[in-house]
Amino acid sequence: MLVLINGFITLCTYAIALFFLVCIVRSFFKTKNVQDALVYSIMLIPFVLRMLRLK
Amino acid sequence: MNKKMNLNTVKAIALVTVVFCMAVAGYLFREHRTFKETVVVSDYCTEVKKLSDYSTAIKPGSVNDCNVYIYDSGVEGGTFLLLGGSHPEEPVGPMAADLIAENLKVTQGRVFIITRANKSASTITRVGEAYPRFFNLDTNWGTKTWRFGQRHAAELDSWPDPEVYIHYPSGQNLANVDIRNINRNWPGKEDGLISERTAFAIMELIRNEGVDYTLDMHEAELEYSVENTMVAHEKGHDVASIVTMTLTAETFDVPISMEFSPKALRGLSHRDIGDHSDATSFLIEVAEPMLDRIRGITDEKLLMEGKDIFVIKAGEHGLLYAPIDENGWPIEKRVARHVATTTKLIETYSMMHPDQAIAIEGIPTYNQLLESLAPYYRDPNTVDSSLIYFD
Repeated sequence: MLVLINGFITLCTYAIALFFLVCIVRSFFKTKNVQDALVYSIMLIPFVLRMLRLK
Repeated sequence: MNKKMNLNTVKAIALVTVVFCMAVAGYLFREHRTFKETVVVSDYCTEVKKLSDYSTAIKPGSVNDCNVYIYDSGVEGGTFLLLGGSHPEEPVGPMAADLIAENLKVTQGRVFIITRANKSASTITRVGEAYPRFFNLDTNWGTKTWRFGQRHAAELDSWPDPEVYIHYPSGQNLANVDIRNINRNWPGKEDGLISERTAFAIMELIRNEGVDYTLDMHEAELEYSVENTMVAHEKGHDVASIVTMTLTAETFDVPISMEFSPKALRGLSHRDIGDHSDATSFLIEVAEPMLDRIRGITDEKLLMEGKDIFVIKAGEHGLLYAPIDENGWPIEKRVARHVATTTKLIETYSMMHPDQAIAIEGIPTYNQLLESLAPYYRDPNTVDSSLIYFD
């Protein structure tokens, strides 16, 4: 049961990571503020690494 | 127009920089996770199986499907299992196991060797603590490289951890992260998470092959009280006491003590292998200054030389459980102690249990290893490819 729950939670995590990744990319392209664009670009890193199963 | 162009330029530069950083970090993570360690088995290795051959709990080809090196003399005798790499941040385990696997000749009984008991834990390291990804040993044929890992299986292979880890089958509550620590998972669980499954598969090996005794090789910080010691299940107190007394009297400059495996602390190899099989379980520890919390610069040099000014200073004030001086605890000494203890354990167990006797040859002595480890790792470029394995 624990394994099943873990598998489900892991899938949800990837789905959530993908959702945030899309939101951040969208915000990055929409923003007109230079500082925000820099912050969004840095925020991308952990989400991309997670989606690629690198870390 | 100009402002918009400036914004787009900054965005483009930021994106390129971030992609570059991700590519570098991703490459480093992936290189570490997929690096294959070379083991050149001795000419007397009779068979190499996979852990998945013993249990369906481990999927064939999956990350923890490690090699099981078998040395069968064909002469009736005992069966011994040596475990290295339970905790991949304690490099002497896999180094000593490799060294024995590369030199061993068994003339009576059987010896099984696992060099990477929790391989997943060796595919990730604690970058936040500045741990190196690899450690190397220079030999006269080139550099031999191992992965440096951590105590717990990688989160990529086992995630999330439960709020509280309930050990199976005792029901004891343990720290949640220890569900990924194989030395808190014994005797394992067939349908558990990866470290529990791995422990279960090794238990199946022990039960199905009729293993008589096991030795799990570890290292510990000098601030920790279980240090330079052999921990023994009650079935092996007699053997462990003779092994430790003999080594202390005849071989080691720093004594090796002997401790009873506590009955109330579950999941440890010295306790639960012995409780859930016919095998007698032992575990050994040696001092590793890099694991101390008070250490200074954390790098491969510290890992291999075992010398740190802060740990030495703590030693001068009598704050540690193991002695340390300006010579530190070099890797040669740590590996030599584990190899010598393994040899002495086999010798003593055979003497006290003649019906389970094992006779071995080819293992270098303590003093030979103190001088240099390099000559005892084989050159993969000059041997038959059938002797080369990757873990």
